[in-house]
Amino acid sequence: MLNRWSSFSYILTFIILLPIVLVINHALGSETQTLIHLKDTVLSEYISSTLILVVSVGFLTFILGVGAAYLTTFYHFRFVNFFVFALALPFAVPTYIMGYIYSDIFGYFNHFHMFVRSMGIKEYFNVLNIYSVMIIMSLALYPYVYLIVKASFEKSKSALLNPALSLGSSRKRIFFKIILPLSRPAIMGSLALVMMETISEYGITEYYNIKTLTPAIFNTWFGLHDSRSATYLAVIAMIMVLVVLSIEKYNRGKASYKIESTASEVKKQQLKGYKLYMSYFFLSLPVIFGFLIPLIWIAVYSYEYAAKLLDDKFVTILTNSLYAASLSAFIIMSLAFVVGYTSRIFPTMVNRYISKFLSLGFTMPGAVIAIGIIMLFTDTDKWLIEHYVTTDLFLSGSFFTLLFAYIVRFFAIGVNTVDSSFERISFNLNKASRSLGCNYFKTLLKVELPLMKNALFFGFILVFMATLKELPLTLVLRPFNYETLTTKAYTLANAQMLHETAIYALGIIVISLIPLTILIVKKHV
Amino acid sequence: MILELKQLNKRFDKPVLKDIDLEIEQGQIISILGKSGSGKSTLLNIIAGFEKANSGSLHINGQLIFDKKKNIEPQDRNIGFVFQNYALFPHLTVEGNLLFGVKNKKDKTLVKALLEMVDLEGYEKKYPHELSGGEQQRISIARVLATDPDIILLDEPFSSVDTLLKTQIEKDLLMIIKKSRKTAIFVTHDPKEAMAISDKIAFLENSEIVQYDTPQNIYYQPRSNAVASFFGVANFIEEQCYRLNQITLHKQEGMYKAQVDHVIFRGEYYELHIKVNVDQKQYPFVVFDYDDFHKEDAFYISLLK
Repeated sequence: MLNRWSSFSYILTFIILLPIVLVINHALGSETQTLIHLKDTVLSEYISSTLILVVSVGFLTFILGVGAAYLTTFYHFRFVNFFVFALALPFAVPTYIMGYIYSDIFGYFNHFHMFVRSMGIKEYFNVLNIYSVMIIMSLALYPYVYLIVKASFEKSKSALLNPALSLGSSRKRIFFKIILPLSRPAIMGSLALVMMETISEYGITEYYNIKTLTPAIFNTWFGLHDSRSATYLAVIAMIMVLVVLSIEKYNRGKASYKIESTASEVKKQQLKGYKLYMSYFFLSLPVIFGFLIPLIWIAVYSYEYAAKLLDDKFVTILTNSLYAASLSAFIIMSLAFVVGYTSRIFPTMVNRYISKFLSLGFTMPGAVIAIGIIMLFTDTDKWLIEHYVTTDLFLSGSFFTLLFAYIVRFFAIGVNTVDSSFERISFNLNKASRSLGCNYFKTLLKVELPLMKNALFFGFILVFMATLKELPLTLVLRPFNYETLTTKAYTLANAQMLHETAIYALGIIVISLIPLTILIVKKHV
Repeated sequence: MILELKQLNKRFDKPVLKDIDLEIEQGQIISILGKSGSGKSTLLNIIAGFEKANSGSLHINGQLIFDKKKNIEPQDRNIGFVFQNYALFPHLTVEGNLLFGVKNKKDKTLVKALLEMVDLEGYEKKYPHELSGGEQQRISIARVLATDPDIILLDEPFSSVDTLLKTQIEKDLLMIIKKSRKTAIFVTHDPKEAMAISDKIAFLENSEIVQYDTPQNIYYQPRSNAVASFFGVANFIEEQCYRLNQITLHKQEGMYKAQVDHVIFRGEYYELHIKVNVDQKQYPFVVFDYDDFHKEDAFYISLLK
């Protein structure tokens, strides 16, 4: 049935998928000299270093995230509530900012090496290597695993720990035999997110000169001006993501992981002795290195440069960031709301799958989307000029391009929050409203909208935070002379003015911390 | 004729409704009865407009509502729908719920009159979660009455009420509908409920209406064995159905001789599973025994018709 609602969904899906399709289509063309050269020389290094990062960051975030979730869920000790909150904080620090900070702290002329030299040690070690990137990325990304797995632990704990204890199992056995397997979807799902982010990461790999696929895509496109090879690399990155996702999907299999939530109070075990101190050590590490040290660094240099940099220009940049993030979050939530509503009122096969298609942009590396959108809008502009609609580049390099990129990239966040929230509202309410004289649109405004305003607000915050921290798309697609907090930090860092980035990093962190705190307090992450 | 369904067909993967014909007079209360999966809720959804039939036509008050070419949307059909779980809007007060479908949002006298009708005066500012199940149901029927619909559809309105309260709520609801002089169609799977409230019952079996008649006729003259057994104990000789109150047991010689096969104690009575001899043939009967026939080796039964 093709009605106005479904047509809107289809057109939106078509537009959002177009950049990705263009990339794949372009990559299938004939090989260029550059591509042959790339294959002979650096391609294997691009792939292997990307793989090494994906696997090692996956492993480290697993240890940090699952370990932290386990300790804070099943044990009681002093400051446990502090850690529950503090462990989520590194989420507010973008990976590349963390990268800049540690490259500065461990730089030759800086704190760490000066201290080492003052001790009479002449040894110098260069921090710009793949191992540092592994550790920094893990510190920045483990909160995904921690937050998602903790939520799953909490749920299975209250439902199953008491029944299992009554069957005479030991707590250790219950954890490994029941709770860990039940949390497998949460663990695999969050690790998949981490791995996707790792493949997609641009700022830190570029700055630390690690030859992974994402910076390679940009360099081939903008440095070598070879679009074919760039899209070829992009498709390889896409394939990697698809492999990660299919492993996750395969792992989930057919087993049902649904738990009937019967909230029963479970007594947490008290941690004592050496176990307690080891736990403090383990839990403090990510908080100190993932948040505290970066925060101190940022605070110190923000203070130092505040007088120099806190001017009208800073205000403009701050406003740009806020405006772009809130506008894209608003548009995404509105569109996702309408699309979700459409598959609710017309639950056809196609409509049910449409949210999966619309989520593809989130799984694609930012670089892939960036070049897809450049191709799409250059072609459209060419067409517009040829047909005398405009004489100048109309879409390329406009703010609209950037906005569109954010929508493609982060639509999945909107769709997911909207879909899970629609599921919780009985469809009979919609029918009741219609039999009382309201059409679909009025019903949407009078019934579903007020009932979902909390969920829509949380979705808005999630998209807002993601957009605020986004780097590669913003960097490549922003209009001329348009700066956001992230692009400014990036430009300064690459001009070796690391300390000046502090004030912009502070902007990002402070703005992210407010919604993040709301989310943690309301237990919505 | 307020509602007229002609040759209505609906299939999902297999046929759900086959050639449904149904005519309802103004002010009648009709029950659609059948086992779960017999298509009765689908029929109600089609009348309301939530589902589209594959063929057939629907007229309300002589006006064409649905056929191959025309399909009036639910919001324009002027049909009220009472849902199984009441579907009250949780974000609105009782007053907000009652006035949801009403043009004049400040009509306090209407709210008052409706609340009086359902015996819930003073409930204007309460929220649905503050009401008991029975109260929620009365509000949901009042919300429907507020828009003055031509027909009220009720989808298993008693299924989520516990048995103790059921009789009272059934009585209340019936009173409200009778008072409003509205035409109503109930969907139910409970034969006792259907007989108690309806002017006519439509029995759905294998996607078809096998009988559409008054409760008395459906009870005493069931058109099929399935209909007969659905409404209670049914005993057959040849194709003729005999209800419990059409059979008397006695020790003196009577119409037919009977032997006890086995006995089940049910508290107020014994359920006798007996064999009745008619013209050299034996027929299995179930009868209730309030005296002590279950001890007899053989006794006689008489059939009233």
